Amino acid sequence: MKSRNAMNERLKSLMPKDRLSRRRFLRFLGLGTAAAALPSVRWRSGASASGECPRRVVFMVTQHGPPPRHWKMNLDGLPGGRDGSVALRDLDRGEFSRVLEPLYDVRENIHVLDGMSMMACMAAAGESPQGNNHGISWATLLTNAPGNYDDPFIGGDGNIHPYPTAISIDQYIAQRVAPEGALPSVVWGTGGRFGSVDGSSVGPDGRWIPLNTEPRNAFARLMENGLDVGGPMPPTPSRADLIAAQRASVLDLASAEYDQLLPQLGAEDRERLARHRDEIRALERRWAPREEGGTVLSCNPEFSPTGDRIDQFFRLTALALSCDVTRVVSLNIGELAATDFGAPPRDDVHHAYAHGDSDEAIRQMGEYYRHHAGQFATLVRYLRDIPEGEGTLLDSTMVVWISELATGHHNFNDCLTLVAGGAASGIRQGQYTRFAQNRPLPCNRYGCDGDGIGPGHSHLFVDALHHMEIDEDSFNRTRTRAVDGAGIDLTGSLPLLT
Amino acid sequence: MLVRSRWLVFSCALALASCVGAIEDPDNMNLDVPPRDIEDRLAHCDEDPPSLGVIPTRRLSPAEFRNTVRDLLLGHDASPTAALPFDEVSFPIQATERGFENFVANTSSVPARVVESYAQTAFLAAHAIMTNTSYRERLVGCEGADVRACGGAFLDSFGRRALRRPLRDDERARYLAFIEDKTEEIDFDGALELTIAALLQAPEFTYRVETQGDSEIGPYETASRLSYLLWQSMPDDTLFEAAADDALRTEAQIEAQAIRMMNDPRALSALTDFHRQWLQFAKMDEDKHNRKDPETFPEWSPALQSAIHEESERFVEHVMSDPETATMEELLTSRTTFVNPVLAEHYGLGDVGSGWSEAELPAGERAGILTRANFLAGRGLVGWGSPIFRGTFIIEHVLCDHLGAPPADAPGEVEDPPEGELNTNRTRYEEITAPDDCQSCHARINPIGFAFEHYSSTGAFRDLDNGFPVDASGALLGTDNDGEVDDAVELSERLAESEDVLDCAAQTWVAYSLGRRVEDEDVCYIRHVRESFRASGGNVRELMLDIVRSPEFRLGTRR
Repeated sequence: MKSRNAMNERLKSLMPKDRLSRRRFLRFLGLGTAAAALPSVRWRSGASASGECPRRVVFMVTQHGPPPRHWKMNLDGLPGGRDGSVALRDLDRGEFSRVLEPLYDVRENIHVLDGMSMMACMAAAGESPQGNNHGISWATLLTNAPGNYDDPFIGGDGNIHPYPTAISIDQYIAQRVAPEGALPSVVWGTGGRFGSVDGSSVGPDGRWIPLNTEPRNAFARLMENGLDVGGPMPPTPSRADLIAAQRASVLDLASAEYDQLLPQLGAEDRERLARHRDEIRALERRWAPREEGGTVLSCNPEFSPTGDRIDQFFRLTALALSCDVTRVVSLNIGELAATDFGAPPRDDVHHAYAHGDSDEAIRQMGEYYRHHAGQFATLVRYLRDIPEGEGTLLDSTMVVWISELATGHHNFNDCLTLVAGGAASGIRQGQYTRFAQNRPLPCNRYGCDGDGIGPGHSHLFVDALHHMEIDEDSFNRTRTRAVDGAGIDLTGSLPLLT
Repeated sequence: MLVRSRWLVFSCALALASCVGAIEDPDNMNLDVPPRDIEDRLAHCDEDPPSLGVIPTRRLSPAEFRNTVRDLLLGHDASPTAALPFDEVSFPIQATERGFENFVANTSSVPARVVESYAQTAFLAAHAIMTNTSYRERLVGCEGADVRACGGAFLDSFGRRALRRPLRDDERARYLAFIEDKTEEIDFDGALELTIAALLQAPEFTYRVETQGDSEIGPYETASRLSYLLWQSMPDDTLFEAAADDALRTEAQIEAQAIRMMNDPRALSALTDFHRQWLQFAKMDEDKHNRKDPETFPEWSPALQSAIHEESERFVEHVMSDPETATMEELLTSRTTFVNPVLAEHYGLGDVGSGWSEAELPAGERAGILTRANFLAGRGLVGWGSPIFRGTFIIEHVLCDHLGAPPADAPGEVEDPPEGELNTNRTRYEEITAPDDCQSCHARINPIGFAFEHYSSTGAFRDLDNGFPVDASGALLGTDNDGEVDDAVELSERLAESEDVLDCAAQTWVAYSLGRRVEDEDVCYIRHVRESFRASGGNVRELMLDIVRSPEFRLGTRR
């Protein structure tokens, strides 16, 4: 194994000459006062000890839903009445739908999944007459679990919305795969549930995890949690180095004080504060000096907090994954402004377009999702452009894009889902798969249209588990019930994806 | 019937029913706890001992955390607006509940990112203290030649202030051992820097821990309840001394301290912050309400938005600063305001000179906080004001009534009218809420919301809407002071005369003081506070004193 110093030398050789030093970073971030107190720069080089590229996963959630007439592609070779796939490689740009056309240049890296259903949302809708479908989706989309209506959330619109009842797929994976001392996940975005900072990610306590909405803060957090910690003490440490090296012992003392207090608390408080203690312990591990690193990756810990915020988060995603600061990234893109997708600025996006019935409203909603498709293509390119091992970062990263709703009209079925990357786990790329709408419906209220539906996202989540080398065949809910009373199996992976 | 329904709606056990029929018939409200239970409690308030629901171990809200760090480092002589002596760390605010930032934090586990913010702040604060000669001198006061003596003295002074009580012997021994250990590894000041960082991450710094049991909390816990309710910050030396002397035991002792504290600028700052959360000043910054059509509202600039925020805070400060006028009536009807040139133009006040100045809003156009731009723009949409958001907020937050949910397939907000089809905002909302299912709630929401039709989405006053004369007639319904109104000014006056509004404010203050939604077991406490709030004429400063004088204020945290 290479020595840490040798790895640092290697890293330095990979860095541009004009890179920002940590102190310059901190000054840039407005933390100049802190810089003097902090130790010398010591990057964590990341990667697995085995030398294999670690597996990563990215979940991207966007708001509302795309109009089917503008995103679905009519392709020769797709069978009628059953599931089937065709390759995207040989298609002309003009054969792509208006919404998906921005993905043409990355078509060999993506797998379009046409006709999946948001089964957990539908099951929750079938189990309760309450709540509008936005609220149901935020509580169940990534949890594949029922919503909690016992003590619901009242929206600003007066609607009753359920709370989640279980951990979301991204956080579950984060818990399972985070290496000792690594940041389990990052949850970033520009807007979440009803314009709040609650994203679609749900922690083990059933609470939404607030988004970090500022790329500068997100980068600072990456710096604190992996880009600059670890490694041996410099030969001539400064006093600041000596103090900084003791940060973990401070956290150790703080968490020990929690241990002292917990027995004096009631059950609920004890559980809550025990989780706080656990988070301090996790931070202690992340901030502890590391003596050994793994294989050096093509990690370039540079970041320029300029430009579009989503683009900044995408670049941070590439940075965080390539430097192995975390292996799970969740991105929530808030509701777009009308001008983002070329619509007149005076219109209310949510109601004028997402819920609009006119041809023009539906066309504009198509443009809304075309904008997102362009963003997704950018993210794919960023990951594809980073060499890693024999391939690229994208090969070891499964990128999943799910919309909040299947359409602007609150539907949960026949939705657009995209997967990119993931070659390392055998995910087929360059494919357009259409699922037959022949599975039973678990609900018959509004949003649950059609005579039959496609497979639910629960199966895609199983593929995500497998991609992350978690050998499990289900996630949270394993069964639900169709409106005719028949059972619906939610276990197993998705047909035709791998 | 209505009075009863209003008692019922604050029950956290409320299983929220469809709005259909919920207002007229409280028996339709699906309660987990039978209504008799609350009525039984109310019937026996006079003979039952004081009772409260469980109070969670409260985590400091972002504002409380910052204020506490400020007062710990700079002392209570510092201004509430004093900058911290280091670059502040960004603190994510978790979801709010009824607008209050501490409710969710008090009942849910802490996100990892918040724990990191605590840690970053702790290390930065510790470094700021130990690298500044004057801070070090004031907070440490001795040198490390005798590590045990100086370290022990530091723990006795700074440690007590940080944990808001004297350190226990075993605790003191652990911290002292840490100081000795780190002195060997670095030096004495380095050890103190690390110890400060540890204290600032101790559970009893981050949380308000009360372990004194059911009957009555201890004197240091009383000191913290006082300081966090009245100041949103830690106790000062006078409170610590009173706690050490066990002089926070009687109603008179607590009242004397509270009166003293209410005269501190921190109290005004805390009062203002309560109203910021209750009236949801930040609503205006949410995308849904912040995006205004630039063609229709070219005035909607960052400068105007900033001025609107500042006006809200200045106005509440003005109302709350005078013990005589710190009333709900003043808050709801005063025409006094504070403007800078950009806001003066928005309000049509003409030339007011540069900078901020006190001004009088035009009679007949505005009166009180609900007719100011913050409330109005914060319930405005891209091109129009929303009578639904405006009406619903008043019913739920100013009257504390719960409306229930619209039918599951109810349409959302109104859409922009098709080109060429002229109508008014009011007409469009009347159309969209016309179905019978909607009217069970909108019969009450709309007449309140329509009273605000003289205000655009940005809160600018208008006489015409889409070329038609504005019809802002409405009505206050479902209260003790029902009646028709011509506009929002009359509506505000009607609200100001309503005892239901006073009851709601009192109940909201009780919830805020407990750090959670109110529970069934709180009903007698709430009734008592409501009654005295009414008797005071809705004086908020009197309300604060009444809360801290109540025996429930000193009740232990039952678990």
